[in-house]
Amino acid sequence: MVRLPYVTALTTLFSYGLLFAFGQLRDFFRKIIDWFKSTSKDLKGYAPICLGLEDFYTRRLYLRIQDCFSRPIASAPDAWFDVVERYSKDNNKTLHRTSKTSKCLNLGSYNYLGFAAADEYCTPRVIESLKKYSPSTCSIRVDGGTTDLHMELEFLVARFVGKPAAITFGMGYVTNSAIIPVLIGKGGLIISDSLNHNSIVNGARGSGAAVRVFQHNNAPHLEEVLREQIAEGQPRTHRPWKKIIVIVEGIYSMEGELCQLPEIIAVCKKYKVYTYLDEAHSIGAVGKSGKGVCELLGVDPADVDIMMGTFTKSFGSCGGYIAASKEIVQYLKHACPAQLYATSMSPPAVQQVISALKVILGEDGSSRGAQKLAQIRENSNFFRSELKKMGFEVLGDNDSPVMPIMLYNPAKIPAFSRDCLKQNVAVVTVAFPATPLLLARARICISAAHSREDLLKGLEVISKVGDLVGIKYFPAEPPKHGHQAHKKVE
Amino acid sequence: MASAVVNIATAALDWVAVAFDAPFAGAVVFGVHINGHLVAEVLLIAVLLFQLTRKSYKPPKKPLTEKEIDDLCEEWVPEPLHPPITKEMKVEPPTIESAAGPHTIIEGKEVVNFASANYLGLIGNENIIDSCVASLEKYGVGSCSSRVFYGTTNDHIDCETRIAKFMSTPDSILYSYGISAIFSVIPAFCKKGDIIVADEGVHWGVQNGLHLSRSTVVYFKHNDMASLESTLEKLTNKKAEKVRRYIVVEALYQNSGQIAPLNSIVRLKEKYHFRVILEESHSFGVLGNTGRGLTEHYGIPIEKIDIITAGMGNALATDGGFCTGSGRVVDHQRLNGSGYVFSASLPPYLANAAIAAVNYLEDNPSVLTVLRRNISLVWEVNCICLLDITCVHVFIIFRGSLF
Repeated sequence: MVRLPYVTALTTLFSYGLLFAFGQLRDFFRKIIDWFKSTSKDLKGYAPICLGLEDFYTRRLYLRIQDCFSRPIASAPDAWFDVVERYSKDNNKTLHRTSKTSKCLNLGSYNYLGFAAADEYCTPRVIESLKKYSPSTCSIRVDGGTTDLHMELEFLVARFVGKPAAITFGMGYVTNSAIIPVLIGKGGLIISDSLNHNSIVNGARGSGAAVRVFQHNNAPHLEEVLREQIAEGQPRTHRPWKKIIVIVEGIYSMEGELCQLPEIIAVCKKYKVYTYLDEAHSIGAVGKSGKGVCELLGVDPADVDIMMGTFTKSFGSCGGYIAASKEIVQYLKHACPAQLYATSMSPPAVQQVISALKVILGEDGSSRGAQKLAQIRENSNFFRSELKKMGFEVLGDNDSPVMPIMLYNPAKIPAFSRDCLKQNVAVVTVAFPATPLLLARARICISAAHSREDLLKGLEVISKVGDLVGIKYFPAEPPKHGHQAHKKVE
Repeated sequence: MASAVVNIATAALDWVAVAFDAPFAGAVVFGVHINGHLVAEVLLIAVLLFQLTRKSYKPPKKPLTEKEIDDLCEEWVPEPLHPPITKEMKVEPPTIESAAGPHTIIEGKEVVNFASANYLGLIGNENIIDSCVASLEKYGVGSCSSRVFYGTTNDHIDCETRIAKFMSTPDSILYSYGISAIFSVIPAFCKKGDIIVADEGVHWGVQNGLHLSRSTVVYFKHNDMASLESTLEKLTNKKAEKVRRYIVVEALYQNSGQIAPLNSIVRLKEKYHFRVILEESHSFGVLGNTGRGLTEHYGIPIEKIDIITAGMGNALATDGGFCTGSGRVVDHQRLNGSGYVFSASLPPYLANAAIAAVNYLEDNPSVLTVLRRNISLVWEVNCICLLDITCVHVFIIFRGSLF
């Protein structure tokens, strides 16, 4: 849980207020200057394509720190990668690439098991499948887009996750937004966690069902909401709900927290509601053999009705899947719009997932899979404990490879990001609107490809920059070898 | 009868008047003459005050007890997650065992492929495959991140620049999936209160985008310009400057195979001050002398169309989608396009394949002549054999070069 000190909250609000005031002042002068210039004839009679308020955040706040985002890279997103240097001649309004790159430690990409770069087992097979099947099938799944690779992948995914059958899609975002409307419609109720991802929110909105939210990871509150909703029924008519689905995620990417799955499943079973688990960040990354939060928290996959995941994070590919009972998958294959109207997954990407799964399961004849899983667990726990010892406010649970470090003040976002880049560490900083306004953070993603030296270098740089920027909100633990080197809280 | 009632009433009133004119009624208290009516008024006020002090009647609230909620939860029976499985649902689509080119292998047999949207025959093209191999060896398969966080490679930016140069627009933006381009673009520019006039026959991706935008959507008859004009006429009002208004059409309709008459649409758009969103998934690389799409087909300058989106999974034989338009349009999507911000970026090898495909198209415009020849061949054969091909789909899925 985030513990926001009062002083920090006040200073953050003050900073945002100042930025807002300056932004409004500049807008005012812009309006005056533009009033003297005649409006172009083309736009007469049209409303502006981007309304003033929508754009305010982009124009006045985001553009100032635009160089911290969308940084292009010139090599594979492995443990170390080349970040392209950019320059700007007009105060960050436009950025231009140079041909210079700097080799940086990658603490930002979702490369949990290290499959991002060319892999000795996967890449030759991917190239072979590329030469056989071409980069795309140019067809939808039901009309010539299903190759034998797709069928093999679906069997393998179902076996890996522990469900009877699975279905795959070309994009993780589309998986959520296209599946939820098929499963539930008007007259149904979706209860989703308050911090669910945008794709789930879009899918829920697109389905036409009523949506209620329960407090993040709070099983007693979920029970309260369920009891109230089942007793009340549909709004106004009070007819009983046709069905209720509870949607949760395995690891929440902005908090790094694991879902309280056993408690939530117990509540759902008691009230006969269906569960939908989105394992985008947890499949392949947590659990003893990489099977996700169900394995880590000891939940039987048969208790979760629908398990969804993506192949982007742990398998170094693209696309998403849904694993459920045979009947549900048969129905989805028949009715899901993403199967009927969207191009099927690219065959080399399918082969990458198949090879990655074989490595993880150990079916490639080596123990690399087990090594990678052990490495990522060890790396995550080591990094998190070291950061906490230094006095940073780190969110998330043990074993989770995602660790957000709280920044809070808006000026610390570009300060942290730019200073880390100067010292060759690439981090990701996230602010509004992906997080609440006051809770900006830097999000570290650990990979199995990071060695112990890489992590130590990362820790050293983050510690130095943290001191400079002033984000060590908690007292640091004194080092164990007896020196009383206390660091003051900011 | 009536007169008797009147008499009684008059008698009563006289009696009341006498009572009020009695000696005590003429008393003076604190210098105020107490007349009869004053007594009545004081009594009325007293009654009013008395009533106001009474509590108003509210029916008693009886919230459900815990036991009643438990009973309701016990009784409730949900519907199953899926409807009963019919025979149709059990049918599996054919599995192909080789590339989805003009000839493909299904269950060991070689068949002619009329199902894939491989319009330019780029499946199996050596140049494209070589550039993909180079990219795979350099970047691996996935980009492992969103565009905003280190998921942008030089290839993505090069691909966007290449497409913009090909279409002669200032800039373009790449999406990681064909269908997500249109359903991210529409909600980024259309919010609640805006007006959208869309064709009835648009495909699911567009319909989903329209639904997610929460704007007012009015449909007009499929490809019928008279219907479009009358709809636009009905929607014209004086508040044009405040509300954004769009016409959404597909260049080549996926569901019916018809081509939208862009010249009429542009004329109507300028007359009624609407903006046009053109979905060019099936016409990009197919229509126009050099494959630049519907605007080239009709000879309309591309600046007149505000937003063009297309999926690259058809003519370009790769995956992903793009959107192109003015600089403002493209920049706005970099923070507001949900499929761009909240999703991982396109795998770099597919971006490379797109660049190679566009280069091929620009260098070999003769492939379009072959495509059109094949299309006219099918139409001729259609007429001669009196085939009842109602699905106009057939004419657009013919491959580029025929052996």
